[in-house]
Amino acid sequence: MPRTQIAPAAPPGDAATADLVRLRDVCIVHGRGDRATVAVEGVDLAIGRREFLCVIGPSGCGKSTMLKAIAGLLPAGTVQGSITIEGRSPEDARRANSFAYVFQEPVLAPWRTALENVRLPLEVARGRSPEQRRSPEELLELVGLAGAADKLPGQLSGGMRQRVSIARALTLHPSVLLMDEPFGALDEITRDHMHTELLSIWAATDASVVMVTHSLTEAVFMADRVLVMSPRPGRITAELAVEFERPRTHQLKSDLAFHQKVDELRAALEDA
Amino acid sequence: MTTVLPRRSTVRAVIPPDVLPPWPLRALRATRVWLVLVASVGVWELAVAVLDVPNYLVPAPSAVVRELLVKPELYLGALGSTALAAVLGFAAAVVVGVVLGVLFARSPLVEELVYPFLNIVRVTPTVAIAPLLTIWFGRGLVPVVVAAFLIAFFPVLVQVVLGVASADRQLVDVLRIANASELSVLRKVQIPNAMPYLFSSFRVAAPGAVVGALLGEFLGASTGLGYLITVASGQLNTSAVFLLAGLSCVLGIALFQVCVLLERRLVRWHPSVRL
Ligand SMILES: Nc1ncnc2c1ncn2[C@@H]1O[C@H](COP(=O)(O)OP(=O)(O)OP(=O)(O)O)[C@@H](O)[C@H]1O
Ligand SMILES: [Mg+2]
Repeated sequence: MPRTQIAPAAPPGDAATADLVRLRDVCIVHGRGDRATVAVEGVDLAIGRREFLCVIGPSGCGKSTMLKAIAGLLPAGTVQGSITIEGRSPEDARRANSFAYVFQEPVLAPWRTALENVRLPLEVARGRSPEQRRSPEELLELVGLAGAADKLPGQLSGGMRQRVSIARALTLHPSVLLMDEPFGALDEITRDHMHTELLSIWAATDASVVMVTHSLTEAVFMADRVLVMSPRPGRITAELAVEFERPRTHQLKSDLAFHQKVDELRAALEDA
Repeated sequence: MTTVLPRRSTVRAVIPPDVLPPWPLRALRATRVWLVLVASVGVWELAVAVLDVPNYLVPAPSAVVRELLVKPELYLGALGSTALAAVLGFAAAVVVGVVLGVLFARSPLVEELVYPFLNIVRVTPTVAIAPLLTIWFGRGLVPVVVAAFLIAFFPVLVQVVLGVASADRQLVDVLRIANASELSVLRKVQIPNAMPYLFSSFRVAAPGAVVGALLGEFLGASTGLGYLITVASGQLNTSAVFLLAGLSCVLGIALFQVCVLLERRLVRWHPSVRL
């Protein structure tokens, strides 16, 4: 089997109006002077509509930093180069509620019930029209938690909490869902379950997903495309297209082709 | 690979029945604190009688109660005015403490410029300031309320600053990503997060307000438990001093209990409520 699709990340053609997210020559430096850390360097990247993109790389290489830069969460002056979401700056995109963010931990308000937590963005957002707002009750049902609507986070299991946080991320109908190791804290059984669940949720919405992960199989199972980052300063050193048919089931994980893809990714990661 | 079936036992678990202890035991459990209290008062009464302790050293409980029954309107009136001053001082401490606490937690500049001066006031013992209060505010209710405020204020301020500042940063980011205003961040995350801290400060501040009010009355007032204590001790009326101390204690416990009840109702989500 020939090695396919491992190519150095080349910036795609410039007529990128179809791209949902576009990073051009992005460098990110934390701090200044002697204490400066170059976290990300020379990243050029385009993410298409309805694309499921995974980012993988060694710990500390700048994956979270890149995600935060797209979300406009970094202090002013840290990000060099340009980032656009639907043609807008991250700040403007945030004002329009174009994206949502899922952290590694569920990050729920412990004094709010599951349903109230899902509703939280609706109570504070100013960017989405009523048609673009989704009903919290329906979203809880989508993540399989209709029965737990009135429970406080302290009464939910880890997997249930993370599902609440995913439902919360979907309330404002985001065009881009940024996920930073969303399943990192879960056990393998729950994780597997969440994989298929997230894929069906994603299929039912029209959002693009950018998901950071440490798991090779997770990346291959979920993504249309996997980006490999080098150790700090993070650069994108390889890009791997994953073209398995959708909807994907766990059956796929026992396919030979699947394992070859995982091996390819592992090799790319070792070369990074 | 062969799968080995585990040996299966068919034993069923026994659900332990819900047993209620017999009623005498339940009654004892519900009242045992009070029984101990009554017993110690009995021992006290007996000891005073048997050892023939003079009344001006340690009065018998019966003498203390008699004191109350002889002049109930005097003592209950004093209790009422001290309670009023303590509650007013406490309320002011909560309002000012919350407002300043939120300001401090959200603005490092305000904190840097104001906190050092507040700290000077804090470390100065209220006893040293209290005479000034009578000079400035006369001998009425105001200096007493201010003294109560001074003692109750700092625990509230410190805890509110901590509660607002310790809000989950990522949860704040969740709101920022949803394009929330700063006011929403405060209302939806930082204030709710500060509630358990606020209530735990009440456990110190509420009895503190009573101590402050007594102190204010002690040093310059013409009503209240603190004032009556100075009068009674001047007359070597030890029964009255005991009675007044007891009433102060009841007031402190009452205020404390009200705060604990509020805490149980309002921050039920927080683990500290189970303590
Ligand atoms: N606020 C900050 N100030 C200074 N340096 C930072 C800051 N945040 C991150 N860094 C540094 O930037 C680098 C990249 O961090 P980042 O969190 O993006 O890594 P990561 O790829 O997400 O790692 P992991 O997989 O372990 O989560 C690290 O060396 C980290 O020390
Ligand atoms: Mg990270």
